[in-house]
Amino acid sequence: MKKLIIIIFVSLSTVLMAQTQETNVVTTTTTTTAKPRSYFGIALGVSGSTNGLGVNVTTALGKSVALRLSYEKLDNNLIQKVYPINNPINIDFGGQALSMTPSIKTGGISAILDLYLGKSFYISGGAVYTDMDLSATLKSANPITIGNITFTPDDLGQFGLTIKPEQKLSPYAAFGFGRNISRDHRLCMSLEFGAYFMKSYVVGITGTNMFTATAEGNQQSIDQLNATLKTISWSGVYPVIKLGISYKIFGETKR
Amino acid sequence: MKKLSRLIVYVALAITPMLFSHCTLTEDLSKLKTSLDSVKLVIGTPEFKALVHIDFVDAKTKQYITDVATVKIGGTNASAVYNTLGVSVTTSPTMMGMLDLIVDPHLAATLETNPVEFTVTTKLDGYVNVTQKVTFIENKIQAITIPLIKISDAPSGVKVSSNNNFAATSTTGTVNQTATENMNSGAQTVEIPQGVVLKDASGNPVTGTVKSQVIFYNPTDSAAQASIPGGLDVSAKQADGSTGSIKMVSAGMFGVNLSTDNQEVKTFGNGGIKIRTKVDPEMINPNTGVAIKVDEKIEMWSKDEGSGEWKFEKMATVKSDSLNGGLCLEDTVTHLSTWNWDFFTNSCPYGAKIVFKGDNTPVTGNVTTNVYQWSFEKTDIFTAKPGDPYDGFIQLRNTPYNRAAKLTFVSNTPGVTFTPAVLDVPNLCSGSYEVTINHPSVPVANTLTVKTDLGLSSTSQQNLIIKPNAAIYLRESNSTNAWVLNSMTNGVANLNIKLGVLYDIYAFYGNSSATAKLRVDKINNTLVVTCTPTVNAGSTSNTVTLPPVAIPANNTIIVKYNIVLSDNVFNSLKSISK
Repeated sequence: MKKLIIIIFVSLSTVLMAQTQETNVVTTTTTTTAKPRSYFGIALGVSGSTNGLGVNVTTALGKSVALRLSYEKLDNNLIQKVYPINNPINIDFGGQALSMTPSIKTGGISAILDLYLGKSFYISGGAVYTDMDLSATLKSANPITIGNITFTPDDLGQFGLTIKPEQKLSPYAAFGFGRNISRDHRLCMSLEFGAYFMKSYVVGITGTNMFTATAEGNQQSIDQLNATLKTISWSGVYPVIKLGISYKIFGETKR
Repeated sequence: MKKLSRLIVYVALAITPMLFSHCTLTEDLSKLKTSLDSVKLVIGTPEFKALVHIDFVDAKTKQYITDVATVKIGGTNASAVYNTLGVSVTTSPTMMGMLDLIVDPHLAATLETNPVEFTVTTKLDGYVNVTQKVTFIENKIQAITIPLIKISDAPSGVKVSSNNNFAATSTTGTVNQTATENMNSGAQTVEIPQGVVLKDASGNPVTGTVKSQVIFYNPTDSAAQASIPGGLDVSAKQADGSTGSIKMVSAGMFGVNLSTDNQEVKTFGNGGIKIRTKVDPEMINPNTGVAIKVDEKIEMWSKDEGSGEWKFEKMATVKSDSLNGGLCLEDTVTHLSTWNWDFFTNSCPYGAKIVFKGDNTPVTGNVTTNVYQWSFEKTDIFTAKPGDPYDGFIQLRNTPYNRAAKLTFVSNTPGVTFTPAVLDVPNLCSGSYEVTINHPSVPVANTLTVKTDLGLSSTSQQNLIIKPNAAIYLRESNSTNAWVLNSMTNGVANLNIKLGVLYDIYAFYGNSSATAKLRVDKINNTLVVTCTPTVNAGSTSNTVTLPPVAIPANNTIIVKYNIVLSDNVFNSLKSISK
């Protein structure tokens, strides 16, 4: 938690410092021209967030409005490269040794409108078509001998638990510090806090071979769990903390 | 200042809803915990699809033989045979005249290319021993019936002759005096000429008083032919040394057993025994289509009692019967087994395919194959579930080679019919045919489907539930009808019953069995289920009458059996190797 606070603090400080510097520059440059400038511009950016690593294209439509199109991705392969974890994980369930292999996939395509309320603060709204698919497969950690026949974990099969969004196309709202497209320079940074709302989380369960019964036998319970999730206000809310950096490739700057 | 005011407005807008809401996290987590508590680890037991269900019936009465017989497993792949709890079996008792055996599921996937073959030899005092070969060429349940001939009450056309003082031998095993067994007024004879030496399986002389048991199967009597152990659709080693499936048409079959009190005769020295039978002059030679004649050739076969396989021995010749007039067959054999003069035709191990269409509700039925212009009738049971990779089709097996036939489909599920019900197949060895399953649009009067849902747990591990996969059997109580096989998949089986009739339910687990009783009555337009579940055969629990339920539109009710076992019993069902 401490680490998270430090990271946020450092990021926020960096963003604000960058913006402060930009403000000073603006102050010094606005006096040098009388012609109204065009704020239109295009920037390419990269980001890292709870929704994955991403790339984006931001188009400034005016002084305070920008349209951001993003693609983000986070999956097991990416996580293993950044933070290797033991996979599968052995767990105990009802006295049975099970081996669990979690799988994380999130990200998606988004279209977001940023409304700048100041030079370094903005609010955002838009939609995201999410790829979120959290799952875990569980299988017996050990072979099982029934009578004189030994069944390997693969013989026994596996069961899977999935968490998916009820709706893949979800609204998104956020606020942020910094900018996703610099107004006066090429380079800028942003720190964004938001969430998208997928209506509800939907839990699913599947099974193969001997675990087919797990899926069938628990269907009623899973249906009940999903019904409960729909009554919970924060079910389906996916929190986003995003740090981004972008470079303006087209548009005027002030020198 | 303007910017600050604007910021204050935004912050106020954000804070306002917070003031009118409250944190529901604790309640939410509590609701989630309640939901998650009902999620359990439910595991099935292994599904042994390559299961053979054997009915042991009296060859004459066709009734189950409930006396406990001993079944010995032998043959090529005997080590791949287990009981339904996965325990290796070499011998097993019959239960209620039945036995279920399974094939190692690891071999099930390759059965089509590597068939599994084994034999079951049934021994029961007072009955003729029978060895039957079982072959699995697909990963499916198969049901076979083994008729046992009661020595004191054989079916018509089967003559059993026993003689405790048939012959006597010297210390060298040499028969002192010619001995003859006459059957059916001399129509069949077995003779040991003087001077023949009797030997056991090791080649040692058999000495002392020799007892005989001779069985003759009349080729013109259909009951006798139906009683032939293992039937006449067999695997046989032919004259060219190749082994294949053939269909035999018998002209006369003997089973001869000779023994002393402590030795069994297997071979002979200095000659052999003579077997002889009168041949019906009206018998049609299926190869020529006309009545059999003098000097016609016919194959002679013997059966290896160990492997259950038939073997070509020699070409025999139809002779003129100098003793009784007419025709006869006569030969000297030099080892003891079942001997058979047979015409034969090759069979197709993999014949025509029948693909079932319709909804995927499983039904059970019989298909009877009648071959045109050939004395061949065979009935197979099947479970049909359209679209299923295993039960979505059946493939006819061991049918006469390149013959046209009529297939008749009869359902065991009330109200269900097949279209076509009778199918003409021009060649039993090839082709694929579609048969549609028709379910009744309105429920059949006074019938009901009971969907049983069985779960086993233990007192200390209630979050772990075992849902068994098994074959269970159903029939009306106190009836002598055949048990109807029903597959239980992950604890669920559909039992088709008549209202107001008491049923017995029977299931095997290893060398033990479990029984239960079930009845559903229609009372005041509701259905009342009465059941008597048991865990172990012989120990009945109390009869339970469930609250009445309205008659459902789909004519199906669900009965859940949640059985909580003691930890000891439960743990014996799940043996984890650490």
